[in-house]
Amino acid sequence: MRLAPLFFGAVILSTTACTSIQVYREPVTQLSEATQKTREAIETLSNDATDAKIRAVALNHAATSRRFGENDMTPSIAPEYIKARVAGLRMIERFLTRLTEVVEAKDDVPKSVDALAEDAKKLADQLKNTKASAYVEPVGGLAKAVIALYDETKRKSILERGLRDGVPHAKQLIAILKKELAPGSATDIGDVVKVELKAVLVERIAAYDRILKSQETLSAQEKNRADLFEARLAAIEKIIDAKAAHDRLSADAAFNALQSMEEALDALASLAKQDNYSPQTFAVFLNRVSLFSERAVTLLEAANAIRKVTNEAKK
Amino acid sequence: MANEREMLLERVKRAITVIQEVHNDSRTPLDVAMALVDPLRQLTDLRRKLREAEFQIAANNPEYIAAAKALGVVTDKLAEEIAAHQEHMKFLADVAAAVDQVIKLAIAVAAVVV
Repeated sequence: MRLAPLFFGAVILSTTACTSIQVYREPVTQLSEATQKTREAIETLSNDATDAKIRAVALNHAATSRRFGENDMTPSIAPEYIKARVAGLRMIERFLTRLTEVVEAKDDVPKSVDALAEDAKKLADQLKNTKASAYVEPVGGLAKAVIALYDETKRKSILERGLRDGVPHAKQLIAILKKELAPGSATDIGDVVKVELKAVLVERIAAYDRILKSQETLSAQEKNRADLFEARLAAIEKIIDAKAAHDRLSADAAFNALQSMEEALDALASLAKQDNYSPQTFAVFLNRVSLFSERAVTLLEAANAIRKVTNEAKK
Repeated sequence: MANEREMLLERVKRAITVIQEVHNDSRTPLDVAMALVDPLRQLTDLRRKLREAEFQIAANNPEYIAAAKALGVVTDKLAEEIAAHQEHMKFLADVAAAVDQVIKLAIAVAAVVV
């Protein structure tokens, strides 16, 4: 009898706790996926920069009849640098994956505890005002002991602690990356890619200029020959492609993605702090995750598009 | 020193931008555009070298390496806590089920005896 309120309480508590932590599942997963896309984009852009550089140097050497060797294909961005930055971003991804696991951890206990509470109450009702009512206390005590072992807020506290301990380190990594990738910084990967793509564009224009120069002494009629016209048009098309690849990436795309990653993590950390959850704060978190996702997708699409152009240029 | 490198890089960048603008403009006379290509290549090479040095320096940033390591420790601890929690939950589910069986038996017995 005395246990009944506790049992009902346990049922209500376990249901509530389950719902509150589950709300993090989708946004945290989304956050982890967007981080993965950002990492892939930064890795791809770093490779794009080297590919574009090799293309520009190759065009330059071909134009000036110079030897072209292995030394002309050194990466634009030190491989150790790329490796270290990618490893840091992977670490943030792993951290977010662990958080997702905390949220998703399979928890069948509420069902068992609820069943136990219900049956204990049933027995208490059945034995009420009977000779056997003395058994209610020990049986109820046993059920109570089991229920006491169940801490329905455990996962939430693991999540809170994880965020409290992990987010500052993740933010430190992002802060360093942001500084390095900020527009104007010497290590801005986006700018390195753009500079190399611009160098390719210059070489393409120079190649077209050489065609014009070689045809300068020809008569107007000779210049109109189909093969010469085709050669000029093909050179112009290459200029157009190089320009499109250059314009595909906005200068601050990588920086913006990192900025919104930091803001989304901030919102998550602040939300998970005890008593800070509200529909409003949760909505802010969702909006930030959504913005970060959009920026990560834009960045990865641009990196892949540039990759496609530099790969096609090799053919 | 780092500041000097950055300043040099910035100057080279500005020079490249201006020359590229003139070179890439179809209104620039052909001979002028062609004469600009070599200085542009030299400046671009210089810029590459300056930047390569910057990336080499940045690669060994101890702050970044330390932050990544610290995050790794937190992540591993989280994994341990999840595993421990799930183990505890499994044990608890088993105990709850066993006690529930006892109570169910008691209910059945009580229905007959009491």
